[in-house]
Amino acid sequence: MRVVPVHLFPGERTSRAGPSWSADLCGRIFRPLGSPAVSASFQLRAKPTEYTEARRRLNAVLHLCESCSSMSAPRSRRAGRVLVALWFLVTLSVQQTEAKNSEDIRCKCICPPYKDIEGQIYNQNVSLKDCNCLHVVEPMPVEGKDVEAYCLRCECKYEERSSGTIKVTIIIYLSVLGLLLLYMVYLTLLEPMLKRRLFGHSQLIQSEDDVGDQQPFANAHDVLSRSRSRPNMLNKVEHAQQRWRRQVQEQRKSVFDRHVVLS
Amino acid sequence: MASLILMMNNTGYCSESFNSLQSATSDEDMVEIAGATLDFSSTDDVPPLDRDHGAGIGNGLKEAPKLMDFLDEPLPGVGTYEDFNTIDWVREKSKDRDRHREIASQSKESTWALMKSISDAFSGWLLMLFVGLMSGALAGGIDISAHWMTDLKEGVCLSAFWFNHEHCCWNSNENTFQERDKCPKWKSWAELIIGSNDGPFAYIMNYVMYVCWALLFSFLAVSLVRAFAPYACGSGIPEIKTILSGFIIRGYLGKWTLMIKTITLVLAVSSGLSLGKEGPLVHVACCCGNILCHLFTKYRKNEAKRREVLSAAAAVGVSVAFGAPIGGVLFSLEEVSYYFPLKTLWRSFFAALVAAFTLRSINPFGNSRLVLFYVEFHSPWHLVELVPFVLLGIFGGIWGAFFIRANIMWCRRRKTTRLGHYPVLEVLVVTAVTAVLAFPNSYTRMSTSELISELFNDCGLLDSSQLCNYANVSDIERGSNALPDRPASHDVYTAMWQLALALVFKMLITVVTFGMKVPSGLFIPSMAVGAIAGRLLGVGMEQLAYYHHDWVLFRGWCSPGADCITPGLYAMVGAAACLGGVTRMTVSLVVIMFELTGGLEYIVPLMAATMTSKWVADALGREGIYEAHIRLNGYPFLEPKEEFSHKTLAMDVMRPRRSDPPLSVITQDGMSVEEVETLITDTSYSGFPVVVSHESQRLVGFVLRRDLVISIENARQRQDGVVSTSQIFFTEYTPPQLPSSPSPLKLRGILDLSPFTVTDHTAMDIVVDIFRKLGLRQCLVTHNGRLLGIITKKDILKHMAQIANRDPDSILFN
Repeated sequence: MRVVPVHLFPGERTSRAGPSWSADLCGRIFRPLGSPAVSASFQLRAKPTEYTEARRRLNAVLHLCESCSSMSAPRSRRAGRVLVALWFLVTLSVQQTEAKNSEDIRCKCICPPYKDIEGQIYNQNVSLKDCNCLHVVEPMPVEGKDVEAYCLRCECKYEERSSGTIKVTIIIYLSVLGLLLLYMVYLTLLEPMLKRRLFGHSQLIQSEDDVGDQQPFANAHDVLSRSRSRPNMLNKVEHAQQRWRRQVQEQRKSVFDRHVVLS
Repeated sequence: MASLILMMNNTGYCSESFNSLQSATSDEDMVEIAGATLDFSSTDDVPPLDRDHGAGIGNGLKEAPKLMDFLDEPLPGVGTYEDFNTIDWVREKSKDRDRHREIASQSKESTWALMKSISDAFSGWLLMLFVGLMSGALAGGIDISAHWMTDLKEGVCLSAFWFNHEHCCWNSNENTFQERDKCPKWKSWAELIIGSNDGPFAYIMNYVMYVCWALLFSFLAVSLVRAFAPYACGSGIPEIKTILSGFIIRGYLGKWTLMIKTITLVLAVSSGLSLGKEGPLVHVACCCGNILCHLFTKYRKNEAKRREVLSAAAAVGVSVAFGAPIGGVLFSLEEVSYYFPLKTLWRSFFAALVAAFTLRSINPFGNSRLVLFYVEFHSPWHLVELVPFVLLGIFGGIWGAFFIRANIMWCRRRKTTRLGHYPVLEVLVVTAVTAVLAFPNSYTRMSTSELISELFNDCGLLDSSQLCNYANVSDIERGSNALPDRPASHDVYTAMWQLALALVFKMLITVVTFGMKVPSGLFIPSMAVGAIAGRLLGVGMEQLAYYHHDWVLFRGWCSPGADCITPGLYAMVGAAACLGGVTRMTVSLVVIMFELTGGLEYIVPLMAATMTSKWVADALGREGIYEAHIRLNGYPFLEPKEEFSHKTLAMDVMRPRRSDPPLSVITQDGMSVEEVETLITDTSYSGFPVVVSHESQRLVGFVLRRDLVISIENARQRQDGVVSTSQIFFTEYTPPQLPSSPSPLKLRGILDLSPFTVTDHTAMDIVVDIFRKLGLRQCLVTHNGRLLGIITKKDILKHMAQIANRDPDSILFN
């Protein structure tokens, strides 16, 4: 009896005959999303009338998850873009909220030397309408009738900044830089070491040899075969990484070794 | 039934997203192999739904593999290009026209199709909006981070480490008139390490820390570039120029290049090297454009359309680099773009506007300006001053020509000798030299943008810098900011000496810096050189006018006590002249400078200086720095500015030459798969003309090698009965076959039926014009209506190189 829902679930998957990856991807989304439904079907398993009900529900969840996955899949490759957009939004909103923060506005008056008074800079947190010499220059170094003459020379500027934007930007920048450095260290130092330990020396050399393919049909083969093989998520990531590394290697060769481009 | 349809729709969604997911792996490419991952395997139990949606579900589920269907739908990969190849603009444009026509005709049929056509028309503008937003945001981030990192070389803000020097002391009341940015929260390294900021030991400490940070930054920059994205080095403008003219460099505008270029640009700029961020920002914006193109099918699948977007993105780059939206559009038009229709002009305008707005709302400098060296002055100039302006123009021209020659020489050395084998070491050595020499001189120690901003600045009463420390004269009591010309004090003379040394230093170090394997732009260093020279001349003129105001030259307009000469204006004119000498820009440069200053009255001086500088530089050396780098690398770039004036004919340039074996052609019928495969393997041509028969040599069309290879390979794998002895047909109807013979292969779908032809007596200047204006890749040559030969873009470039007494083998790519 306990087997029923377990059967039900993969049964659904195979009868749908969707590509294996979609089941895989849906499964990932399904697990957190679908777990109440599964437990529900456990409770309902005794009654055959409601069994179909559970089946329908599962169906619905699966549909839901499929439409989810169809939305989320392109999103994953847009991660970088989303990050930028997110950062942009964050900075904008941060700016909106913090622009009026007293730390982030200033009225700066620069007063040049006048008679025997040294030049001076005055800084105050005042709003735009109060940003003038009379409000900001305190204590006033001159008396009575000289105030006007003194203030005429001063230049007051109202400035706004967004310390939140600066903070977020610098922190994001540093973390991206740090991640890249870690990844670089991993790729250049750790990975060759691990590989050597795992596979031994001979295979390392061999795998470096079989990169070049010069036949004219090899490329086409590559293009065509890509559509047929349907690896699971992990393989795909691995494959993408391999492809990327090959590209970088190729770029490095043409830029640094052969000096064909960008010299 | 309904649920079944729903299910199928869902699987359809999934397989669609699968495609996009998988194509994300090739997202890095300049050209994604369009639809390479399209699900065309009919043996699969998920039928492509759009093909026979109305055919009924039972039919759809159990569809037998259709053999000849491949010819109706384009194969994956057909119509794309290989790396380091040139696109065929004519083919791409006609592809887009067909697509557009189809959408337009469909839009009358249903509301959904109408919506689709509207969204298609709208997508270009939407894309521009995204490009503007993304580039503006990135530029803001780069500005903020670079500013912070530059100051990190000198010290750190204790209260909040993410503030640079200025922002650290933003609210401080301790800053004085003499030292504007002084506050206890900001600690220099010497203060932090040894506890005091005075004395020789503290100076040495600061010196050492400065050099160490500079070395660290540049080392990180060059190693990141080397490890992740070698294409991120350099300025990028020569390559983008070539790409816009139709060349393909895969991965040059990809995600990794974007990320690494953004990150390392900050490092390179803040390491104090003599380089700027403007050129790389153009590259960054183009990367944004290219990446965002993947969102829209219209641009993803068409190389020509994508280049329109890239043209606009280049405008965005300059727009955010200088805060000059109109200047950016003109820069794209004058300097980088190859094909710039009016529609692109408007789109660039819009994108530049969005980007400038975004950057403004981020407010990276905290002064509501888009650039650090924004200046504003409105003092008038006199007609006589045109003479020094023209002199500055001459200086700019000479410097531009010298710089180009020296830099190309150095880059050639790097390309050919052992120097090129040590990119990291080279960067480190140059950084070390720069940092060690730059620190003692306060004008080279500060960042180049700050230097330019100080040089552009007009000295008022409010300024307390060394450069503005004039001897005060007694009649200053007039209460306005318009100061008369004053005698220079000792401080100004010291500043002059320092500036002269800085000038020599910048001139020499920029030559070896530009072209190193870090992101490096040229605008800022050349502007700095010009600004220093201009400021020197300006101060000289000012003092001359002050001490000799009775000369005939000054008598009319420069009486004592008048403010007649603005040294800041001279610096600005000098900057424009030097930049003009190096890049040979004219209109866009003047507009950029004018947008920087917001002073309309300086257009004439700027125009005079840039024009002179262009004349002088053109007289000394034909090409600008970007063209020179394009030629150095041998990119296939057909310069639209150059004129072709030789009296050669098409038959002199075409291949095959008289002594060569005859042209490799394919006949429209009668060749077997094996024969064609042998032809492909034996030759390395990128395309083959198709003729009626070997005897008549009458032309049918042209087929590209890549398309041919992919189609044959595909047919061999998927079409039953296609073997080596199968016949290949390019004709419209296949003649009836003997029952015993293997099934034929029809390839009319990949045949270009309208290749461009000229006769063998066409003058070469017309052929070159055709190539330039239409963006052709190859052109067939006929004689009496029979196919005689072929001219490719590379042949033309080689021919032009030969005429100019250059090595024709320097043209490397197809």
